[in-house]
Amino acid sequence: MENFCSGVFLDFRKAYDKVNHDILLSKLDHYGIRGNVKEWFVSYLNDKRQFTSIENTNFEEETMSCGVPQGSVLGPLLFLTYINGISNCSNV
Amino acid sequence: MDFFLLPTSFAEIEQEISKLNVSKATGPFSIPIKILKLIKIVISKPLEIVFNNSFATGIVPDKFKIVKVFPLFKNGLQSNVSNYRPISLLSVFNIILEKLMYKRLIKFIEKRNLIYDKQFGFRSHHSTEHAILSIVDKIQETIENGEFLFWSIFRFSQSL
Repeated sequence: MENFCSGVFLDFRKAYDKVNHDILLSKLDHYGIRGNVKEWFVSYLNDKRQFTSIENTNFEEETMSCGVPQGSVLGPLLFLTYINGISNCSNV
Repeated sequence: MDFFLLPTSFAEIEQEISKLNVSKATGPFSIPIKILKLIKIVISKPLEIVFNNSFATGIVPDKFKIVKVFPLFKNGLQSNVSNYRPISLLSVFNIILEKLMYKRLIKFIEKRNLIYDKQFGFRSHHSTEHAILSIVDKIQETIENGEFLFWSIFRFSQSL
């Protein structure tokens, strides 16, 4: 019996910056993160503001409407939760 | 079972302050880590109140959510914007609060085995070597069974 084995490699571009907050929150809810804790994450993600600073010159603050903050502690874990189960999308 | 958030204590906060790296740069609304370490016994008690209130009310203080981004030059032409990597700096108090949340969340996730077992990045005790081993193992298995191996590599741009 001859079977096929295939590998698919994906590379996300600007992955952290493009995380959709609503999808992330519903994913957290799915895993049992609800109530107060969910509210905490809503607050954590909402109204995040960032400004660029070049050689002591600070530029205007902008609100981040999507994405998890790079360089943060929770960012990688939230991203993992976000993409968790992606392999279930296909049964190749 | 839903995720239950355990309150923090001044002892836990003191411990987290001790673990902070002095040489790391901090963002807006911070105090130097060196000074924070000196006053950790005094500051951990008011921080306990702030952090426990944050957990109980589900509110992250606004000042914790301001990120300072500066461009770090990588290599190549200095006039090309894409040769810079953005570095985000966050308030040191936010980092401590995030660490407290991270510890609680990872415990919940690990205990319930929520993360896919072939996920090797961004996890403690996991590395790229595990990913390679897993692939090599799959290849060997295929060869041993006299099967075909088909491999495709994709790169998605603007995928999300």
